[in-house]
Amino acid sequence: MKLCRDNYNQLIQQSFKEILNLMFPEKHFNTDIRIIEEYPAGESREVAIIIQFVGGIEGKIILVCSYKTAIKISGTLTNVDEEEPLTAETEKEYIKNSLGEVINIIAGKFAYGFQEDYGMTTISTPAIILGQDITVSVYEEAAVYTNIETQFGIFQFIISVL
Amino acid sequence: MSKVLIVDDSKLIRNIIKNELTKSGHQIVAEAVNGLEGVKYFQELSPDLVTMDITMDGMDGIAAIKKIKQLKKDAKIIVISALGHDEIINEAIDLGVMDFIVKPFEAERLITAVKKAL
Repeated sequence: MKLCRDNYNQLIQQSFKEILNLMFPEKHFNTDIRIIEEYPAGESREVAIIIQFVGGIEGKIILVCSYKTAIKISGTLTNVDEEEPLTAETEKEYIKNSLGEVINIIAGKFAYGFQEDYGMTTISTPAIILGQDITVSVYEEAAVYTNIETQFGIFQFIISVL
Repeated sequence: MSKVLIVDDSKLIRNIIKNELTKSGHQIVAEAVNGLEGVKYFQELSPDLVTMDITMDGMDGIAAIKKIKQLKKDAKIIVISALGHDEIINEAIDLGVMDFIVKPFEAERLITAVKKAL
């Protein structure tokens, strides 16, 4: 798919569906993933995962969601019953290991899409921030916000490239 | 039963690969979280096959493949990566990897690649 700002939403929606369908077929996930206009005002922003684009184009993709949503998707993807109880030390790694990989795959698709126009672009490993009401500074004029509603909760993707 | 070493920084992906290969009768001898650990386990355990991610902190997959190939020229390696660029695929193939799987992948794709490599 040739990438332009108008189809970022579509790529994120498709990629999310693909990850659930292809990699976890036995879990029979609900792949009704809807694009919504706004990240709801009442929805907390406690988890941010950031991947940098490096090379042909510089920028980043950021995923923001509530702690509850992050734990829900991470637990479902990794079969939480098999995991040891989370502590303050392990929760970051736990979310990074599961949700971090979801955004890693989506970032890989964007990096591939950028190469036609900007040349070879690779990605960094995901960095995770846990906190309360996280705000991430991006160059607003170059940023595209995509909000999706899934069975796990609501996710906001911010793609900012220069 | 073949001995497989999994190198990937994501526990989620390591678990998917481990489950699918174990179901197919392979033995996972170790799981490494980056290239450096992967090379170390390769030296210690002499696996029949390595599955290798590309983007990892510490030592990335391409550097690890080079090291492993220096240790054993005919080492069997399959790359499993979110990056599907021609340049990276070609570099890996030039280094002698058996297959390149782009994430997200179906279990069948992995099983077929492993069967073919072994």
